[in-house]
Amino acid sequence: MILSGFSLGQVNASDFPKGASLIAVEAPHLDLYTQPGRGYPIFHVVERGEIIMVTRHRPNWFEVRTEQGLTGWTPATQLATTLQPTGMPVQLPGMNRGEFLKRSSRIGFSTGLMTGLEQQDNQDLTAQTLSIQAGYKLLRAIDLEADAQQIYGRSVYGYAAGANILFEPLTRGRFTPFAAYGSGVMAVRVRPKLVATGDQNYTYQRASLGMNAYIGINFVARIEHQWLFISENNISGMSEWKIGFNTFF
Amino acid sequence: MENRIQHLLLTGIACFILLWPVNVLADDTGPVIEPDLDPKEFKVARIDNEFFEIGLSAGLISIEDFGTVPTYGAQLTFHATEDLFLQAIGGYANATVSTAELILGEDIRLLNDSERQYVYYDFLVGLNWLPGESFITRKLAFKSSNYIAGGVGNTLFGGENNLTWVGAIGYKLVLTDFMTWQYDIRDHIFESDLLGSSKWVHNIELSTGVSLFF
Repeated sequence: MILSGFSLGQVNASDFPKGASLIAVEAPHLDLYTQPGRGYPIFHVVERGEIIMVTRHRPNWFEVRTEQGLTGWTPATQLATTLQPTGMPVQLPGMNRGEFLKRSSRIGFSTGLMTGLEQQDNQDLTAQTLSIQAGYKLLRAIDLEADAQQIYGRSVYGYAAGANILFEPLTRGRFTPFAAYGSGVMAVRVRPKLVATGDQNYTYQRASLGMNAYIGINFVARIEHQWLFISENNISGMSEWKIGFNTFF
Repeated sequence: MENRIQHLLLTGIACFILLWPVNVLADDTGPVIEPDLDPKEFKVARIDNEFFEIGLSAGLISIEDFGTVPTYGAQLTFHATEDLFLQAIGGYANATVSTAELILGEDIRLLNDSERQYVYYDFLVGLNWLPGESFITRKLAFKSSNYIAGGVGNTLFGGENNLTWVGAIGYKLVLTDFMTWQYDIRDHIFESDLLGSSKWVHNIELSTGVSLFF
């Protein structure tokens, strides 16, 4: 995976390859660790004003090379205060959440409890669900999302797939609420061991309210409640609680 | 103010060039001095982002009531932070005959061959913990970490899909800066009614594998 940062090739550090991502250290010093992980020893300290080259990016860490040719890893938080040779602040990938909120893709999974799909003695039974979803941030507050779902009921099982438009008005804070509206298709089958009645296909609309909890820069736990509306059959009162995890990249 | 001066100067230079007689330029036979300019280019640098890890694994899975058999799988991991990751795992195994079938004799089989295929996929959220360095010999050490993970998935067994809860605990060793070796124990838990009455089964898997960062 390659992401890009801006660079300027005219720095008096001739050892660096052309087009490299060169930055000047603005922080009082930059610690170089032997490995990208806390607890590893610091083997070198880069002083303010030195030019370094950024070569690799791991979560929370950047690999840098110094003018003397030393290579080590530095925490992303330390690099956040450095400057490009032009004097402009560095825009390295993965530095802040706002960057992910501008335009990003998202993948995740969730599990849920669906009520109203099947009934026994006039009582709603609860079916379990497993979903995977992928989203794309179209605008700062608008997400497009597609999901695929497997449904595990006591007497039925099925699959569903749909698309949502998500509205997440707040872009700051650890907890942000969202609302979504979407549509999809569902195919439900009676479990083979019971009397076979064939597939039943439904088209549904759904509305949901939920909450995102941001853990770290690009990791989100999500809880939501969905209301499902199926017009073709006289199924009403279907709803689902879902909890899951998403990550941006 | 600066803008106005620049504007006037540029307009003046443009008029001068445009109005200069073309033949004067063409007749100029003096030495041509090539400008020795190093073009100042802004280049988009390539920083190698290593957030994904893809790997293959092999091991043993104990399918409750149906014996312990080899299993093979593949996994894709997305490292969100230094500590947290999301993982998708897929794998398969072929179950043997159950203890009940062994007792009942060869004529009675609860599952046919295709139903005996055990296919699963899981989605896990994991946490690297106890990161450190492991010393293989006195001088040879590798970066290492333990991890715990949990999540949900699907298990197709006996011709039925089962919602499966998964818990895992493992250890990984970073062999080179792009390759890791890991082993882990995973428990696949689901409610099954294959043998008549419904019960929760624990299918414990012990597997090892190699994965690559990209």
